[in-house]
Amino acid sequence: MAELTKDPVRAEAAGDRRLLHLEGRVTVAQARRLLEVARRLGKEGRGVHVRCEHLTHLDCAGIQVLLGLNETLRGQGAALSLENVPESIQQTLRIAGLSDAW
Amino acid sequence: MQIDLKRFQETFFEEAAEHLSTMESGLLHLEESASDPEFLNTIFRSAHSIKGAAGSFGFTEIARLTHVLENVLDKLRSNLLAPSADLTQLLLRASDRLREVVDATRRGEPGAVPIDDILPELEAVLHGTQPAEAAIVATAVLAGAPHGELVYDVVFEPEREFFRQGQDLFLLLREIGELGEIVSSSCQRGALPALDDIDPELCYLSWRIKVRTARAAHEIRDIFMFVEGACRLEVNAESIVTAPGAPVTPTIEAAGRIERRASPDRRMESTSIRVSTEKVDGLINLVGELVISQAMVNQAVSTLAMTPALEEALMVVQRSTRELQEQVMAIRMLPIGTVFNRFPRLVHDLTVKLGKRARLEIEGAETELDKSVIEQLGDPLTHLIRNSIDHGVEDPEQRAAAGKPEEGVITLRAYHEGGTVVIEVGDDGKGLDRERIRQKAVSQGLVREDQVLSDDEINSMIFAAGFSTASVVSDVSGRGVGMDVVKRNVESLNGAISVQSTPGKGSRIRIRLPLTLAILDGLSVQLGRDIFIVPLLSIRQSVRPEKDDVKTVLGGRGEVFVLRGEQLPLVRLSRLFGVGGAVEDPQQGIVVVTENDGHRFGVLVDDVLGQLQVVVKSIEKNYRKIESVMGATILGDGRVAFIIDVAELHRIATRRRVPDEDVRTSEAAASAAAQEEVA
Repeated sequence: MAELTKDPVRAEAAGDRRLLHLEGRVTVAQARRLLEVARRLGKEGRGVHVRCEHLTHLDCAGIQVLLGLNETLRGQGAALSLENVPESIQQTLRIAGLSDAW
Repeated sequence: MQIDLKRFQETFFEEAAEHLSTMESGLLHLEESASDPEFLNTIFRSAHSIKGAAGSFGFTEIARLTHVLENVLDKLRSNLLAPSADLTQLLLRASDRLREVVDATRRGEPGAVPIDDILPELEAVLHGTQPAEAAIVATAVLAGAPHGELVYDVVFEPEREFFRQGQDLFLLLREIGELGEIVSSSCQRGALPALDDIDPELCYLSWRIKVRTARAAHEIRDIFMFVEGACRLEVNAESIVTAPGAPVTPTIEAAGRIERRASPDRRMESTSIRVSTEKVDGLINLVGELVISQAMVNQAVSTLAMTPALEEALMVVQRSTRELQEQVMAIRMLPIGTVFNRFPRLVHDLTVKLGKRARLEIEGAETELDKSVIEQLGDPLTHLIRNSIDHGVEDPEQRAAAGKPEEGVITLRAYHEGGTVVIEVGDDGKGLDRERIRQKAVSQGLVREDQVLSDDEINSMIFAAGFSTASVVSDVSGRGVGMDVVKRNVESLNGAISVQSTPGKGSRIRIRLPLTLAILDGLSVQLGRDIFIVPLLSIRQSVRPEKDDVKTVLGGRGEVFVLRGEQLPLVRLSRLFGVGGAVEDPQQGIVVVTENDGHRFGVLVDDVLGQLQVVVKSIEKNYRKIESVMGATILGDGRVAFIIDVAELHRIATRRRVPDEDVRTSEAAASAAAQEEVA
């Protein structure tokens, strides 16, 4: 099932995996939209790969949702991974002590 | 559903304007108050707050400029830079530019205002290569700088509502990283609920970060200064890492445990909320409707047989309605200081520009006025202060020669007087040159050469259109436009303006304004079957004319009312508005003597019904502009009554008159002619 939503939060199926594309700025303004998508992905219980190559900014509100999704997936034996994370966001995650949360 | 980011951004722009005002007020006193750490902290906090919020919204131009500005302020605060006149000027220019960038960003044109010219100037100061007088204070460096590194344990627990601060929490954490090396960072996720229960607008995470840095503890705390009421913050100096050969003992501040929660001030702030004026206006409108409905109920039941219980109930409703109206109106009231605060900068800039010396003394900044009145006061007051400095205050040499202190004084006062607010703009300068004003008026044909005029009448000519005695036209004032506009602005607020002046001692402009434009104390008068409201503020008395008190002048084109030997122009409202069935014989009617700008005139009406407070409704918004009508109101019986625009009525009363008319009234003929020009 391919699910397309509007930018900057877009999810799609890729075989057994689910790809979650984050683009541009994902902040508190987009967090509700991200939460909607995350809840759907959580219900599916498949591994989620968050594609971050076009992500320019991710704030705490967005991170919380991803952490919540990660916990949900782990409870179902699946996992969430962040991929192609830009260096600036990696640095933020390091300072925030969240590099190893995934 | 996505969060409406514009709502947050609008809050940012409003707060940025407030922070910029705070910065500007502070910068104006930089040189004399720089030794006070809290003084500099206040300016710094304003810049820091703007930077933090701008960064989180992605307003990079604002963040870039504020970042450098903040660094300069930080250097000043740390005694690494000495305050000076040149530095003050530079910081004021930077603050002006920042305001322009903020305004442009608000308009959706973030790149419209360049900052690349001012950034290098600030950078030069920052790096000690500036030509400004500000010098690096080496001794202060030695006294104030830390000697080695410390490891700080920073505990940061944002409140649930943290995101509403408009601050990007991660930016704050990154700023900690910029202070030194992050030794460890631990994110506490225990409060994060299950995915289905997450509210994306609430914050569930908290942090414990160890950072090694040579910076002082207060610099870490400063990162959080804008959010200190919305988080729990602990900064503990945990261990000492000394630089080789520089053993030090941590300062008391750094070694101590610094825990801060919402400070008393912040708690006070949290008791207020920011509400759009549209909502407040909607509320005021509704309460206005309620007042009208309540009056209608009163009128309706007045024909019924009243029981004591009903009477009591009506009284309670009436009292509660009035109190409700007063409370709601109070929401719109703002201290006039919100507009006064811009003038220290104006005086500073103008005196520098004109090579004069003057200080501004403000009194009564706490006096409250309706927001809409305050918003329209800025331009007239700016003009008056410009005039005071340009034309009033003399050069330092002239003042010294006149035995005055070289520094002039501009006074800005506000106070309540009889249900109105009076604003005075004064100076201790040379005063109006009445002879010169008179000559100018004669040369412009405003008065005759042999005409006898009182001092007040001559003074009031400065409000005539196109009138200026300034021999030099500057870009400050003296173009002959402005004072008439000031007068019209004040009158459009239902206010009055007058001037007093003493040669050699100075001038004082006095503006009298109603507290609010939304409600008005008026006198209801009858004309035929219609009712009109005359603003009470303008009424001096009401008189039933005797025989021969009303005379025809100008060959039948005008009338005057003789009041104790003084002849006042007379307006028949019924003729002006074409009201049928109104009194024709003045002896059967009442003359309401009104005053506008110190000039009295009579208004003939059928009868005076009584005083009342009315809710002003805009005619222009709902219909179109009607001459001599400033608005309308709905009466208790449901009828609509026009509210008279006394200033416009006065203009009509005097516009057909000429200087050589044989009627000599208290109306200065010259003033009448000047009014004609304005019209």
